[in-house]
Amino acid sequence: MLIVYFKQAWHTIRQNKLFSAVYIGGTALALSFTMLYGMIFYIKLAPFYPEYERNRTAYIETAVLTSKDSYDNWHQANLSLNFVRTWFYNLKTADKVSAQYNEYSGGKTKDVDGQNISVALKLTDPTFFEIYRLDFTDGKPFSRADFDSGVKVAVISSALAKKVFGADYVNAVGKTLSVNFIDYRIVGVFSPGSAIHKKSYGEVIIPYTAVSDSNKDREVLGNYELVITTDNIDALKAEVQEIKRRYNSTHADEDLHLFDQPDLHVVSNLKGGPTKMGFDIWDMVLGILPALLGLLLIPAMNLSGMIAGRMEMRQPELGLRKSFGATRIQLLNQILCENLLLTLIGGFIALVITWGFIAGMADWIFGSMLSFYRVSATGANITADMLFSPGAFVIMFLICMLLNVMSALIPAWNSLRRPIIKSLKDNA
Amino acid sequence: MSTIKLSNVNKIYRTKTIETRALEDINLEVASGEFLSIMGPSGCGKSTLLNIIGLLDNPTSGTVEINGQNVAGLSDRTLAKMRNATLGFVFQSFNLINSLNVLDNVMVPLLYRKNSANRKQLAREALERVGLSHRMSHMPSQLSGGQAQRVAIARAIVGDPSIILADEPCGNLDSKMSSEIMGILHNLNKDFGKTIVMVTHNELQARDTDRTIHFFDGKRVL
Amino acid sequence: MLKIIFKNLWHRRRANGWLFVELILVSILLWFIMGQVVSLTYPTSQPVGYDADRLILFSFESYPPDSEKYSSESDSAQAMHKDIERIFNKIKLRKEYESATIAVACDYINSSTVTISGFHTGNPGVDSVRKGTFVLNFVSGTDFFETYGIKQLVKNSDRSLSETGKDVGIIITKEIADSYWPGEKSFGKGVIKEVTEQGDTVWTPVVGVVSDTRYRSYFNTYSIVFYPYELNEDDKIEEFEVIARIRPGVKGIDAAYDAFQWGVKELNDGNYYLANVKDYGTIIDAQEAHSVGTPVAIFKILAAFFLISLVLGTIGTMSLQVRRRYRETGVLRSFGASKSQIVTMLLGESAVLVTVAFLIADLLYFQWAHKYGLYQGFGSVSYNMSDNWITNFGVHFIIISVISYLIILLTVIIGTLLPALSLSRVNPVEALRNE
Repeated sequence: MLIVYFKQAWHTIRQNKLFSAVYIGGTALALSFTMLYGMIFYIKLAPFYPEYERNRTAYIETAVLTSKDSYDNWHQANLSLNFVRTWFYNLKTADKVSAQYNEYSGGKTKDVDGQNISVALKLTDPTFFEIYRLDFTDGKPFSRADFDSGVKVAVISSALAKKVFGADYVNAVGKTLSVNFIDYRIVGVFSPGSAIHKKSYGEVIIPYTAVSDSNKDREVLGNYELVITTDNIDALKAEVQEIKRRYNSTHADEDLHLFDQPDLHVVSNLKGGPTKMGFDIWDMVLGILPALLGLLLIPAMNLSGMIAGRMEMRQPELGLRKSFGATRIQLLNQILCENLLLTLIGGFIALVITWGFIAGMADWIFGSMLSFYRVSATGANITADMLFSPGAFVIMFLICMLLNVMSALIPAWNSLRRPIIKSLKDNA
Repeated sequence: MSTIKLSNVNKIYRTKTIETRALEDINLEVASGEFLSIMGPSGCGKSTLLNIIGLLDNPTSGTVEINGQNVAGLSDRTLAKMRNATLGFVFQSFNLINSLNVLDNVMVPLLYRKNSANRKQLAREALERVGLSHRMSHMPSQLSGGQAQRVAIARAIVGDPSIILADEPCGNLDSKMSSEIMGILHNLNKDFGKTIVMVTHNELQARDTDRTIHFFDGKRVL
Repeated sequence: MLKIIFKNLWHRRRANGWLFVELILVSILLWFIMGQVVSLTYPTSQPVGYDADRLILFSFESYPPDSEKYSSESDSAQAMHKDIERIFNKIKLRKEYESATIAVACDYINSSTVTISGFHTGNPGVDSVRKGTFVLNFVSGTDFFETYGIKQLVKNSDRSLSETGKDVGIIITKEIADSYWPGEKSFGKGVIKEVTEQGDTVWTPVVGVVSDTRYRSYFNTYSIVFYPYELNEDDKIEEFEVIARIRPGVKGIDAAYDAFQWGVKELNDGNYYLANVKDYGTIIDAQEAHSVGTPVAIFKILAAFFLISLVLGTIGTMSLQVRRRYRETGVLRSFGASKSQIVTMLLGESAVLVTVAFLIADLLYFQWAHKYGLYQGFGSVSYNMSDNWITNFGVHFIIISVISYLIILLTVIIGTLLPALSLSRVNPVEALRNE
C-alpha cells in the first residue's frame, strides 16, 4: 500500500513541478530553521568531547550575600577560593569537585610573529582533567604535586601551540610561554574542544596556585565556579543546602544564598541564570517548545494552504476512491503518506542546509556563547560528530513528522468531508 | 430475490429558497443478472437514481435494498465496504487517476480490501478481459477514449462485484468505440452474470439491453 | 474592476482562507520585528554629539604581582599617581594631539560599563520629579569637554567647564535641561545627588549645560550628568585610560596604530604598560555590532524567513488558483479582456487580501501595544529618553505600520506575479474547449 502511495506521490511531484518545487522549497526553509534551533540545543546539551559525562555533571556558579532575612544589599559574584576550600572540596555526595576561573578579558601572549594575541586562559585544579578527559597529543596534565607547589606550569591546546610556535609546535612541551607577563613551562599539549563548551574549554590551562589570588581576603565571593560530578543530584543539593544553613547560622548580619544550585548541565543551560528557582522539566519544555512551534507554524500554514488547494483539485479522485470503498481514515493515511514523501525530501535538503550553515557560520551562530571570551582565536570548532550524529537524523525526522501533521491534517480532513457526488462532479 | 430494490424513494434538494424534487416516489426492482437501461432527458433524475443505487447518495425518504439488505442507517464505514464488495462504477468521463498507470488504476478498489495478496494478478486478469493487458504500464494520458473507458471497466470488475453501474459509459466516445464498450458490458452480463444498470441517451444501446425504463422530471414514466 | 476583485475574493474565500490567516500572522510578526529593528537602528543614524572621528583611547594596565616585570616599589598609591601623571603628560604634550583627558574605572564615553542614577529635580522645598539619567564622572582639570569636542552652551564664567572642581556643581546635557526645566534657565537649579545616612538630601547645583551627547551611539537618549571629581591620592589605581584628540585630517585607525607603536616604547612607567590603543570609530562599531548588529541581524534573518515563506505560500496558493481559473479566464479573454487586465485583476486581488489582513493584524497589534507599549530600544524604562518619533506612540505606530504594510504588500505581489503572468497567457480557444 505504502509503495503505491509513494509511487503516486512521486508521479505527482514530476507532473506538477512548480507546485512540488515550491512545496519542497518551503518545507526545506522551514525545517532548516527549526533544525538549526534544535541542533543548537543538541550541541549544547548532548555529550561531546571532552564533556562526556554531562548527564552527571552539575555546576555552582554564583553566590549571593544579602542583609540578614532580606534581599537588601545584594552582592552577587562567583565563589572565592576560601569558600571553595572550606566548604566544597570535601562534599560527601560528590564524586569529583573541581574549581575553575576563566579570565574574562583573555590572557595576553604573543604569537609566532611577535604579535599580541589574547588567549582563553583557565585557572583550575588537577581534578579538572579527571572530569574532562582531554586528549593529550604530547606531555600530560599538570600533577597534584605541581599544583600543591604552585609551580608555574601550563598545558596548552595544539591550535595555540601552532599559533605561538609555528612549525616547531611539535616540540612545544618543555618550552616557555609568557601569558600576562608571567612565564610558564609547557608540560602538555591537548586537542582542543569547542569554545561553545565553556566549562571544559581553554587554550591555556594553568594551576590556580601559580598566580596570586586577588580575592584571598574574601570569605565567600570571588572568581571561581565549581564543576561537580555526582550520581545523586538530590543528595548533593541537600548537602549544599545544609552548607548554606550552617553558614547562615554562624553569620549574624548576612545571609548566603545559593538558590537551587548545583544545577545539572541541562538545567544550567536552559534555566536562564543560576539564581532562578523552581525550574523543572515543564519549564524546560516550555522554554524550547514555543520557539520551535513558532518557527514551524507559519510554514505549516503555507503548506496547509497549498495542500488545501491541492485537495480541491483532487476532489474527483477522492470521490472516485470513496466510491470504490475507501474510508475517510484510509484516504487520510494516503494523503499524509504522500505528503510525508515531499516533507522528507524537504527535510533532507534542510539537513544539508543546516549542516552547511552551522559548519560555515558557527562563530556567528554561537557568538553569544563565544563572546564570553574576548577572543576569536579558535572559534566554535564544530566537529563532525556534532553534526553527523544519529541524534541529528532523529531530530530531523521528528520535526518532519510534526510539520507533516501540522500542515496536512486539517486541510486533508476537511476535504474528505465533502459528499462523494460533489467530489465526483468537481472538475479541476 | 431482487438484487436491487427501491421502494417509494424520493430525493429532494433544498437550498434556502428553492426545493428541487430530483426523484419522486420511485419503485424499482432489478433482478440478479439483469441488464437494465435507464433513459430520459437531461436533468430528469437518472444520474441521481444511479447514485442512490450506488450508495453514493442517500434518499430523502424511501428504502433501498441491495442483495436483500436495507441500507438505511448503515454507517459510512459499512457503506464503503458494501460499495467495495458489491458494486463497480463506470463513469461517463472515465475518472481515471492521471498520476497512476493503467495497472495501478485498475488496482484501486483492491487497495481497500483487507486480504488482497494478489492484487497485481487480479488487475492483470481484469485488463485481459477487456483486452488491454498490453497497456499496463501506460499512463491515462497515453490512452484513447475507448481504451480509457475499458480501463475504467476493468477497474469496475477487478473486485468481482455482482453489480455494475454505468453512467453514460459511451457518452464521450465515437460509435466505433461505443460498440466496443457495449460489447464488453454485454459480455460481462451474459458470460459472467453481472447485474448491470446503465444510464444512456442512446436508443439503440438501450434496445439491446434486457429492459429499459424511462424517466421524466424525476418520475418513472415507462 | 474593484467590485469584481471583491466578488472574486469572496467567492474564493475558502481557497484563500489559509493564505489570509497566514497574512495576519506574518503581519503581526513582521510588525514586531520591524518595530525592534527600526527602534534599534534609528539612534545609530543620529549624531553622537561629540567628535568621535577625532578620538583615540589609550588603555593602561598593571603587571600582575607574579610577573618578573612587576616592581613592588611602584605599587604604592603615591608612586602610581606619579606614574599616571607622567604618562598623561607625555601624551598630552605629543604634537600629534590637540588635547587629552584621563579616565579611571572605565568612566569614559562609550565604555563597557554604564552608571544610571535616578534624580529628583527642582529646587529645595519644591515638589520634584524623578527621572533616570546616565552619569559620567570626569577628572577635573583635564580638558574633558575640549578633548571630546562637546560644546559648552551655558556656563558662569570664561573658565572652561572642564575646570569645575569637585563638589562645586554638575554639568548636564541640553536634553536634560529642556526635559527637567522646560522653558526655564537650568543654571543654578538643583538635583538631589544622594540622601545621606542621616536622611539629609544633598542638592548639587547645575553649573553648566553642554550640547547633547550620547553615552552610547545606540541609546535613544542624550541625557548625561557629568560629575567632576579629583583623583584621590590614597587610592591605588590598577588600570586607567587616556583619551586623546587627534589633529584634523588624520584617520582614527591610523592614529591608533601609530599611537600604539609609539606608546609601547615610550609610555611604560612603573608597573603600567600600554595594553592597546583604539580609535573611537572602532570602539563604537564593535559595541554596535555586539549590542545592535547581532540582534538586528537575527531579526532580519527571521523577517526574511517569514517573508520567503510567505512568497512561497503565495506562489503555491495562487498557482493552484490559476489552474482552477483557466476556463473562466478563457471566457474573459474571449470577451476582450487584455493580458494586462488579467494580471492587474489577480494582483489586485492579492493587494486587497493583504490590505484587509494587515488592517486586522494592525488592529490586533494595536490592542497589545496599547497595553504594553511599543519597543523603544535599549533600556527604555531605565532612563530619560529623547523626545523623537520613537517615543511618540502615535507616530511610532503609524510609521512602523506603513513600513510593515509596504514590505508585506511587495512580498505578496512578488509571489502573485508569476502565476498572474501565467494566467494572462491563457489561450481562450484551448481554455474553452471541453476538458
